[in-house]
Amino acid sequence: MLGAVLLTLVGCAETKETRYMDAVPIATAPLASFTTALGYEVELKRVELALEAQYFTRFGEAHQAQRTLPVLDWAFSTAWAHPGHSQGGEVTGEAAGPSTAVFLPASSDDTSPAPFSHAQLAAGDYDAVDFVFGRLENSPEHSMILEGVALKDDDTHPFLFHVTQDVGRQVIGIPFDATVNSERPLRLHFDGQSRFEVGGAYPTVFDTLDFATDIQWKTQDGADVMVAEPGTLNRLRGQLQKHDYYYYDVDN
Amino acid sequence: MHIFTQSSLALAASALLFTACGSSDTPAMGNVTLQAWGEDYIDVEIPAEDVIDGWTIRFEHALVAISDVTLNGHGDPSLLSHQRVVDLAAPPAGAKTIGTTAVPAGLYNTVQYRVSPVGTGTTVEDTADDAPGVSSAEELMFNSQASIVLTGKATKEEAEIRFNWAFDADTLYERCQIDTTVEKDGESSVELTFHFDHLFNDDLDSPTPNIAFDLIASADADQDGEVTKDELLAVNIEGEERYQVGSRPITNLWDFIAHQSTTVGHINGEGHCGE
Repeated sequence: MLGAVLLTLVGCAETKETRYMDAVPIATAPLASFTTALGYEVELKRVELALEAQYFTRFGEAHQAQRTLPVLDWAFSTAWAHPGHSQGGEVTGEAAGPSTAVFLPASSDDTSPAPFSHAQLAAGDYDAVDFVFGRLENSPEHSMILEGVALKDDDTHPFLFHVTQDVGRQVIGIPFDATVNSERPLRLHFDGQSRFEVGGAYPTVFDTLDFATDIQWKTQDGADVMVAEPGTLNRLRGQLQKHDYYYYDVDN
Repeated sequence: MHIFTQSSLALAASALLFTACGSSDTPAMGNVTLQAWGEDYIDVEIPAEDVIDGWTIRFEHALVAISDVTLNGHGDPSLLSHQRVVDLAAPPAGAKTIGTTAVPAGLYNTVQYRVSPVGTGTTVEDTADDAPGVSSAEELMFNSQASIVLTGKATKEEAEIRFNWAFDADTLYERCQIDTTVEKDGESSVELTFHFDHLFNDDLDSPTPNIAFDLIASADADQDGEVTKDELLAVNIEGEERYQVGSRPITNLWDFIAHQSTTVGHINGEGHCGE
């Protein structure tokens, strides 16, 4: 008798059951133009991003620290992890498995892109997403392709970057400040220009790239191929690891 | 072989009852010895075969300012409340004992500790110099208000590069995983383990970074055989194939190394914190 009463009390004290959405579609948001620090007006025509997995998180202190504190002027840092470990908070949602996000400009005919992935999410408030770079199916050595043109002084500089990220390399703390309580689609944005102000400016992924001198086009095996110095490619690769250039939201 | 007679069982039951009921005002206590160690990489060297570009790295001083060491649970007993500076490179080799504290007996799963800039009243233990007085490394620590000071040199064939670095990060290592049962009247230990090879890792996020020194050596702009903080600040790493930083706003080699100074703390060897 006492055992039954205790069991009832324990049952009453349990938190309400968590609701899960099993198949929340994730699509890409349209690309937008931006101007770099060197004065190039960049029009992205196509961006492909290979993902190995996406983890939706709450209470990501690490990403808060990285976003809100000045460079190494930390009054107090917390050692959350050994190098290489995730720092993204409590994971309460996941889009497992490889996928490829294809971003196109808003002017494209394909105004309602099909979802590139589906996530299983617990209902509730979210802070951030961590994703893991993968490799493109149509270009297995690469994780991203960025195609577009850069305009300056009446000169047009087409570009086609193939970017390789290490297997397992993650982007931690991508902003996703939303409440999820239905299977309304989510959108992943790739913004070549950061939404976060640094020193009075909004950085872009191409800020240190001089399109006129840092890239060249050559004909190789009958095809036009863009080449660039390793340092140029490494700088771009590094920029594309920053969560400043991505964000998720709910497609209303 | 033990033979349990009725009388011995009764005696045991009485003892158990006494233990359970007779000591409710006085918790059972055991002793925990707090130690700090830099392992062989500090005691001996980081050998060339462990460094991807073949340098051998030896430390003369490895000063760490430790405080706020607290076991989590059973009233959160403190193993060290005030700040102490320990030179992990001081002879003899091996873990440095900081002190022994009586704590409530029980199982402890985590401990936390802090590495922070030196303040007034901080004492220095276990200096690496035989001569009495304050070493140059200690002077650097207090003049820089540092939390960590590393001095030493790297050698490769005929080349030798010295370093005297002071880092001032204030780092709290939380939820450091231990599995320590403190027995009543027993003796246990907790070791704060410092992995200073992290400062020479070539990636901030990879689970398998390399230990490397070539880029650091190349920073010796005045070629005086010493790589300084200012020289490292002048090295932009954004174009490097390695030395990736993720989302962190780190663009130069000093900030890269200084960030790594906040990751050196572990527990009981390879135990991790913050997981």
